[in-house]
Amino acid sequence: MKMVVRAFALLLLIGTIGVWAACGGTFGWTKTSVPIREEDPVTGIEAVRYKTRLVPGVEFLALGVGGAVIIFAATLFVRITPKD
Amino acid sequence: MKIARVLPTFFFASLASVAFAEVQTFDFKDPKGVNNVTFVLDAPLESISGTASGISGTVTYDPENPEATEGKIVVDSESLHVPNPMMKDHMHGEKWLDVKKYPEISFELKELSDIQKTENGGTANATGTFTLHGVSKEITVPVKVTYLPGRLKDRMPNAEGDLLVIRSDFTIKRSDFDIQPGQNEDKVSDEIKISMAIAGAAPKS
Repeated sequence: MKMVVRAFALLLLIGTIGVWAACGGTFGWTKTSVPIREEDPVTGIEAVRYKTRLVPGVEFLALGVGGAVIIFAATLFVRITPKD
Repeated sequence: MKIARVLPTFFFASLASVAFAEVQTFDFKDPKGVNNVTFVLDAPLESISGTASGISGTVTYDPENPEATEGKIVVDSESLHVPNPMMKDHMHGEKWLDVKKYPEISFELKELSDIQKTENGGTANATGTFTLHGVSKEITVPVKVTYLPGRLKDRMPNAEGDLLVIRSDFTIKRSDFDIQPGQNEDKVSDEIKISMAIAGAAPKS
């Protein structure tokens, strides 16, 4: 049983880091929009438009990694016995 | 005889109309949505950057006489955007900008000084009243003005007229405008770097 919980913690850890990296994770706070810069050819002004996109930040990483660590730590201290 | 009397009057009237035609009012409500103001707050623990796009206002400009430039640029406080939704809510909220109570941020030009003319505009120091969070303060900021005669049709194919581009980079302190003075400066810098690039149009009817 402990092994199953530990495997789940490992999966959570890998999954969190994987999703964070795959979505272009940032070490700042999570963003729900990203700026797209485009220069206006007549005026030379760089227009900034926002595109809706999730960029997971440190709180996402902290929640996933923290959760995995807590689950793993729990297996060290909590006795899990399967029911008969 | 009558013609001799009427001709000089016609000549001077035409001359005057040409001279006055140079003074134009540029509308900065850009239908293309290109105009923007960016802001950066670089605190030791956190860097916040965003933009404002709800820009309006008018500027009266004469390329031959830039000293006489007048105008007011207004930014809709609600249009201030940062990519983190919670941060945006806090920024718009009562504790910080209180956009419901103070829906506008504005700069009203009083005078231009140190004008350096170039071929299509020039640079100057613009002194005027900057209003933010309900607090008005006189500030002087460097501006770069680019006058683009006849270029409106390049942006709006069915319109004839001129364009005026204004750029300015300057810094203000939020504490000067009663925005949480002395609070959270490790995360929300007191200094706000503002970068403005806006284009106004003066259509000719």
